[in-house]
Amino acid sequence: MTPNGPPLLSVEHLHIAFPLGGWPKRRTLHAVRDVSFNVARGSIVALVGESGSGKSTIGRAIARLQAARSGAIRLDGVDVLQTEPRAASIAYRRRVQLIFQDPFASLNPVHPIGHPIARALLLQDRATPQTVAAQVERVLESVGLTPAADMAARFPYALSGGQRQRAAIARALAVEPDLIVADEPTSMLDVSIRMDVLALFRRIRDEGSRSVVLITHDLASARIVADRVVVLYAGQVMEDGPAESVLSHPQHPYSQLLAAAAQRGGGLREPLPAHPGAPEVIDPGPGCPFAPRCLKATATCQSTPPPTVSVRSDHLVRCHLAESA
Amino acid sequence: MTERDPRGDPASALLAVDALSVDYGPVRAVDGVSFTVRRGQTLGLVGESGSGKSTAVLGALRLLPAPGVVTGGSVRLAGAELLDLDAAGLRNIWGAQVALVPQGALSSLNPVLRVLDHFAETFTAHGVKPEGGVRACAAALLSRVGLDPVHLDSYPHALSGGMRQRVTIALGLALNPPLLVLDEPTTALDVVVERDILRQLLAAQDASGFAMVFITHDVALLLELASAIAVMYAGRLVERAPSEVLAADGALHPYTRGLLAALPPSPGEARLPVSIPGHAASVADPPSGCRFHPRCASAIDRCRTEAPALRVAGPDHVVACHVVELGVSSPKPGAP
Repeated sequence: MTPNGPPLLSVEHLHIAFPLGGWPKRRTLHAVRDVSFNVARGSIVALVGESGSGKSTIGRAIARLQAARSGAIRLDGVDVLQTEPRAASIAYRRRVQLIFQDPFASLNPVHPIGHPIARALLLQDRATPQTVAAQVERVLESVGLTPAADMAARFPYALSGGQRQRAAIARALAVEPDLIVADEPTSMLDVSIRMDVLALFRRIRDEGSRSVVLITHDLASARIVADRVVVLYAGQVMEDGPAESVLSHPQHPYSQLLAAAAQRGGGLREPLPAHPGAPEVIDPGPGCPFAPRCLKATATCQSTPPPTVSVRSDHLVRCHLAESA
Repeated sequence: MTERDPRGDPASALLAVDALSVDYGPVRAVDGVSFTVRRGQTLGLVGESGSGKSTAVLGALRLLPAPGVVTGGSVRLAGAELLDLDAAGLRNIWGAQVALVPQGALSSLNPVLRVLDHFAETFTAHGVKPEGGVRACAAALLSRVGLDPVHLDSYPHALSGGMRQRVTIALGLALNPPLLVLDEPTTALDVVVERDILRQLLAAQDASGFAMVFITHDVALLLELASAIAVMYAGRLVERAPSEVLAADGALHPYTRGLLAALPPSPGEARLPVSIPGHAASVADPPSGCRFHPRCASAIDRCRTEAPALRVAGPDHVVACHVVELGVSSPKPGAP
């Protein structure tokens, strides 16, 4: 599903760098370089890539927990990096909520799980002290934590991993955000309950017409819930398109490598279609960041930044070897 | 896949764990677990967090730190009873007869020792003088698992997670043990690195013929990697079967079937994965009877009161479930 109309969120030429110090020459880690993608209203966009691909940094930048060096983050067309340069306004924080990876670390152990939800509601003036308890229960019910009154009073230690992550999702949902950024929300959960949490994100999209940026290294999760998939390598977008198109017909050699590595059912003894190596984010060369590992790389790939090629409708690939539709 | 021992009698087993129980204080974390590993075979041990899979194996190898205590059962490695060995006996076995590749490679390597020193220590402890010297031997071991020997002089902090895990696997292979035990060796790694390490591990196994016990929560991986799979739930073994049987829809226990149904579909497969309702039972406060009954759609009254015993369902296939009618429901491809 690709809803029409202007995108809810538009990330444009985002660049995020971390100074590393060093002497006499200061070194810089370029975590995110020239990243652009859109998130349509009521859609789930998966950012996929390995450790060091910059996917979590992008998510933190959208949630405004991370400053950007340059670029724009437009919510409904307004570049919040310009209008709220130092810190996000409380209004922005209501519209954009972040869910962390580890539900064992993201909930304060000394408060019952109803507490952070009530706090968010009161801070955002969405509840009064008289109504807040009922509202907390309604939110907990909406994520399947029932009986809600009993759950609200429970401390995190008394909940399973899946229940804690639901509580964290309830905390984010309480203020009725337009966009939820979820950073690996299922990777700490047991396999047998992962699907339920992913299904919850689908429901959040379908029932509230909310959007979700799902950060994951797990292509299978992306396949199940995402409408669009953005593949990242060394802080750059390699491929961006409809989920089915990107995951079933990956065009970029790096996307093909990811798909081959995630494949189950045979071929475990076969070599992967890439040279061994890791993304170079400290002193990136001028060319394609994947060129040192790419089996098909040419001299041009090493020396020149690859163009963004539209391989089919709405499906972009950043590669010298991609052929446009 | 690995060659199966045609004789199939327990006497030929390299590792035979029988009715093993492990306690943490008043909590019985592992309750009467039995499995065998034949020479050259790979046994996959699967279960959710807290199911006792690591505890069972660490307990069997006498590697479990306090307060974990093995309280019953027998563990025979190549015929010798591990539970009777004293500290000196264990030191001779560890590394030479069975090596552990632990979860979390950073905490298992010594931060003040270079990679080479780890190998030197292993050889010295067993009085082994490798042909061509420690450095040459360690370099060959690293190459076997896909790591450039230039890293022999690196300290663990300078290596990435994947590189460290390759070092721990190479250390496990150092004395050429007939059995390698791997505790979630690739869970913390990126998919591409995971795949490459598994490929190198299988190549090493093809070359040396060691047996493996592979602990993971990734059933899909085991279907490819293991010759047999043992499924644990809340401290007990619920099913043990050849991988081909599970891969061909021959799983019998509702929990095993649920785990397989929760797997993400492969590309082109028109199936939506289904979660198992509820959450994993805790061994600290286990449900009565069959520990899976609160999450089981097929549970009957008997499941709530009486713990099911393991029953033979086919060749090398056992299951602990009251509801499964053996030989009637669920055709078993492996059955005679």
